[in-house]
Amino acid sequence: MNRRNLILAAALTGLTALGATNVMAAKDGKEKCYGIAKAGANDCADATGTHSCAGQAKVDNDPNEWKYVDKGTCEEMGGSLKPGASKK
Amino acid sequence: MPWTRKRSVPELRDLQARFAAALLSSDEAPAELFSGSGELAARRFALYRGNLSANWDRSLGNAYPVLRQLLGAEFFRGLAREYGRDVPLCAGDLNRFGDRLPEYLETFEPLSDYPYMPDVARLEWALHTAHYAHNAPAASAPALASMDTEALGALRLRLHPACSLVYSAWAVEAIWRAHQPGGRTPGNIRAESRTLICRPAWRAEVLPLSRGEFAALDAIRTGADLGTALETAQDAETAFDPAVGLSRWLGRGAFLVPADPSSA
Repeated sequence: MNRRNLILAAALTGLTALGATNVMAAKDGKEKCYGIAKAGANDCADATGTHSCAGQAKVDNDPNEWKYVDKGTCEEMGGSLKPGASKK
Repeated sequence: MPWTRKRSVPELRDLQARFAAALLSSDEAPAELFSGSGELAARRFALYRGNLSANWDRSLGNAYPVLRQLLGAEFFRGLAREYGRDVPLCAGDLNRFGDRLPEYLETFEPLSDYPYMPDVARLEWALHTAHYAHNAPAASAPALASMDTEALGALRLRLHPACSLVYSAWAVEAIWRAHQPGGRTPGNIRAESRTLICRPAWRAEVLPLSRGEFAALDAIRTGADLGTALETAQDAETAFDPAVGLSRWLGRGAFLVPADPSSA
């Protein structure tokens, strides 16, 4: 028996042993599949359909309003943003 | 140019093009596009522009929730605006807005100190597209278990439309998990990560892969038969166990049902 056949025989053994478990898992999944929506997706669909309530009152003219501010969690990952970096 | 007078089609096309260009620029509203008070028109135009960038922010945030947490809401809003201006939306579906963000981030100068961000974005985009991928029946372990070794080895599986492989030189999977409920900050992010994004039971999820598993699935993705793919896995990782690997992938719905397994 060559290497390829040994590997395939091993793979087949795994399928036979775990086959029953997979069927069970699939059934469980089917029962839970109703009403699954991506978190926040419904909000987004409303907001992007015609106009956004969040944006309606905001005037967005000034490019200098745009600042790079390190208020995110990237600091926890060990990084640091350049302080006061401006656009481009 | 006032709107009241009747316009020819080329004139209208020109007007619309200038309106769109003004919307994407950061300058004041061009007063000559509107009739009436210039000041009022400028204020209203600014609101219009504000709505546009708010929509960019929200649709991009829907696809990239972890990236938003990493960068902070304010930075992310600015990024969304830059991206929206630089990368025109080519589809009417806002769920596809953001498809070019990973590559955009590669050259986004303010993030040059954060080389892992594009790969975090890749992982999130894979999850986003997995969520919206069309439905298709997945290959199951029992169906393949009835084959003999020769037929199994010659089988050319195809990845399920909801599935994709994400490799990174950075620990993007750990970074992503750190931002899920109950997640913990990873100790070291300078570590490779290999994942399969999949959608078992309708929920998009991130499955961490060993080096061998990734090699096998990448071989399958590029058209290798199963025998060759499993050999590739053992070449990449001596500890790779085909009995565990294949069942694990099938359990996550990684492959489409083969067209005709008996004739493969």
